[in-house]
Amino acid sequence: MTTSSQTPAIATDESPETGPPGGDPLPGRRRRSTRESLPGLAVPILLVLTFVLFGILSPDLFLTWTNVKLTVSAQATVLLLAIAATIPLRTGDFDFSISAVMILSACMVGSLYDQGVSTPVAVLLALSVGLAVGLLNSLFIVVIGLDGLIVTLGVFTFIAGMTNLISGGNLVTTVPQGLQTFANHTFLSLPSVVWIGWLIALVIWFAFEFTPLGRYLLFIGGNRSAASLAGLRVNGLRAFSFVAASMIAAVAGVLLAGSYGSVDPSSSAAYLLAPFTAAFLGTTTIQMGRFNVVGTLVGLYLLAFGITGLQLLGSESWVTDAFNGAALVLALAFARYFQLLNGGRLRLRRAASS
Amino acid sequence: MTDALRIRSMSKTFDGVTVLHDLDLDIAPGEVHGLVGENGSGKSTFVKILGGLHSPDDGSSASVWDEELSFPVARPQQHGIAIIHQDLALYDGMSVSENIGISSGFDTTMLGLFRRSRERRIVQDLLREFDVDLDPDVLVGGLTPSEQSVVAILRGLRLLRKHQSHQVLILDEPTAALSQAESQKLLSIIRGLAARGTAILFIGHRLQEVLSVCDRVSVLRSGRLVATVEARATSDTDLVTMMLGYELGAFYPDRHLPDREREVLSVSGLSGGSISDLDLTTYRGEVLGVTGLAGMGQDEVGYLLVGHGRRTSGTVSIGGVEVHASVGQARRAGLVLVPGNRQRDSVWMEGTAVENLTIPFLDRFAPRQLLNGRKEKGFAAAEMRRFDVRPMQPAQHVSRFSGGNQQKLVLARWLQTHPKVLLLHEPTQGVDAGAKKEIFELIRAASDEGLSVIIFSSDIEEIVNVCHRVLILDHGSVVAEIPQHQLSEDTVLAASQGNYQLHEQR
Repeated sequence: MTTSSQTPAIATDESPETGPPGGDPLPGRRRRSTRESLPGLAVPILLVLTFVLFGILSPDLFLTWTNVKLTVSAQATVLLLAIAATIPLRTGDFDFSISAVMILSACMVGSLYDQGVSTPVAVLLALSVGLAVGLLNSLFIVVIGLDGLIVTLGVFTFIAGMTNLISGGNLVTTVPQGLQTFANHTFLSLPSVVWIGWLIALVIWFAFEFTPLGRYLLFIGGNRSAASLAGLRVNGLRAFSFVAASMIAAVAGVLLAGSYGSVDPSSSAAYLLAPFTAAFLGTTTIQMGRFNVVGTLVGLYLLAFGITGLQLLGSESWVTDAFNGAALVLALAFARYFQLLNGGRLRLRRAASS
Repeated sequence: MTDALRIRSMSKTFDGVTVLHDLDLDIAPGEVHGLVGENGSGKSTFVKILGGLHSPDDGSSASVWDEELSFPVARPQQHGIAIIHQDLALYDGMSVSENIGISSGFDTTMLGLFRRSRERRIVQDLLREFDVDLDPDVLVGGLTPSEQSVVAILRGLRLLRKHQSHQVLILDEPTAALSQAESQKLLSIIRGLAARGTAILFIGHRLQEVLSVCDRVSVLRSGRLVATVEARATSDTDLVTMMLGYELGAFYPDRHLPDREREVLSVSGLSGGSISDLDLTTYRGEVLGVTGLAGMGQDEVGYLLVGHGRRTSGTVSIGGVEVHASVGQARRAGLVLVPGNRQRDSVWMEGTAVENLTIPFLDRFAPRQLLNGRKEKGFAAAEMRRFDVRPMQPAQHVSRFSGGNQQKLVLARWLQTHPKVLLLHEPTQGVDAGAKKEIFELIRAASDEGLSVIIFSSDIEEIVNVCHRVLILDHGSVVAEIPQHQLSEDTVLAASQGNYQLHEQR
């Protein structure tokens, strides 16, 4: 299996001879730094522009604390999924199974409680499903070496089926009351789900930016073979990423069940793409070309407020999917464009053969 | 007489930086014309202009067989120019004839009929015409590197078929990935092409090779043509002096005799991959060379020793302590590898110089798992100064450094782990002359301090001039050992071909 072909980061190649020849590197560098910092702020600026635009178009609906609160609350579980997606992406792996894990975990909490299992045990069992799926993904992708994108799409579909089996295809409404109270408990007028999401994001952000672990994950995503020859435990760290992603998705599921009080077992597809759109938008933010937590958050809120704004202007529900899909493709194009601007050039990727 | 290619006052400026100054260059029909220069001297820019990727500054002119080119060059092949890049862009899973045919669209339209037998005949004619012994139906992935280069060249020539003898072939480092024996084969094919009237521009890093294949050689330095010289009357040291603009002095540093008493690395019965039952021992301060014909295992030993790749049997020990097959454990035991394919196995191109430098010992800057970025950056800046890695900008992406500077950065990385044994796989591949010399001096300085070094290389000239002792591999095991006093390119070549008796241990 080739390592480069599945790395989602955008490939650029640099020809040393196109730059200024040896000697004085300074002019080139000065140019680079302005070019590189401005695009990094493009998505945050877009977010601000979204507020300005919809603020002008619908000031009494969009620019209200209620709207902000509702949007942020509605995005709390998607935020956790986006953070979850960002972890394997950092090592160059896709995990599309996370949204299915979330819905399975949410349904399990309700179904188990319905069958007389106590709330803490139901929650623990739901979380252990996250662990199990993470290990399963690692087995197929890291140990056996199958293509992660395809495997996790398969696992996604498989879990979606199992979720329907467990719930009998019906809406799961037997979410424990205690969990609902906990999830909807507000602090500074925002529900605890939002705070938990931000807290987990903060922890992951800290780990990514200030610990060797975060750097190791990036290096593996950047060049898996070099990372392994530098002595990093590549397989262990990739497995860790899959497990961490699944666990966070399972947490998101428990919180989802708690905050809505009912779960639609067939809703995992609705959550499939948005986390990835946010993460890829994130690679064009702050740290260009790298999956990072702040970027993912900014990307997520850009999507969320963009969609809310359009809906407040009277657009219908199809807008969500159309907006998410288009934004994902545009985010990719955007990232590539700025990388080309920065002197990289297109490189044909060939299977590692020579 | 008509020149095959005539370049007059060609200049190219990028954002105010002139990378090509007023270049004049002529190539006669049937001539192999060398183009040499350090990285950044403008060779690639020149090739890219001819290939239509860049447009030169106003006032530049170029003509092919007296036909003036307009810029940007729209379709070089219509003027009889074929460019073979270093990356051959072949499709491993397709046959020789498919690879050759695809560039000209199999001479049919998008929805036209693909006529397999006609395709096969055309390719067979080409192979016969150039006296190449290849089966058109064999998959390109299974060919040797030199055969693959030949396929790429034939593909270029097929594009030029209607130009008959009016062909200009530009070869950008065609032998970079080839072993010495392999490149000899390719060079003789190149001479054969020239004998038929094709004009060839040959860009190369290995100067002896350039001198052996070319009629004349043009030397570029910082975008200017320094001189065009007759290859026959020029030595490689002359070329280096012209490329650098100053005398490099003795290219290879002196060798001090190592301390043969103290064994450091000892390997016995190592097997795995194409290696079988390999024994070797290195001593403190010794530089050991390991070479052989292409594919005899010298490209695999290093990886197997550090535990990247599966060992089926054998033991590796350092100072009597066994090293297990894991890259991390080997590093802790003092055994590290600098891989040959830098882009693939050594650096993260989109990472910064600091990030690439400190990766194996990042925990040094992270007491209690908390990364101290300032300390790390300060360390990197000091190391880059010590190893003369230019530009000295730790936050710069590695992709912006030249091959030689990337390699120095990687050497700095591994020397910083304080190894006892340093394994170097093709340490100077894609590295220009100046940086090459610096790398040899680094190796020499480290070995003087007691480091034991093993160089796995197909560059016999380098092995002969840098090592204290050379081992020859054949099918994965050591078949000959040549001591320093018998080292020469001839003995190494002879031994690689099986004509050298295993030397008695002293």
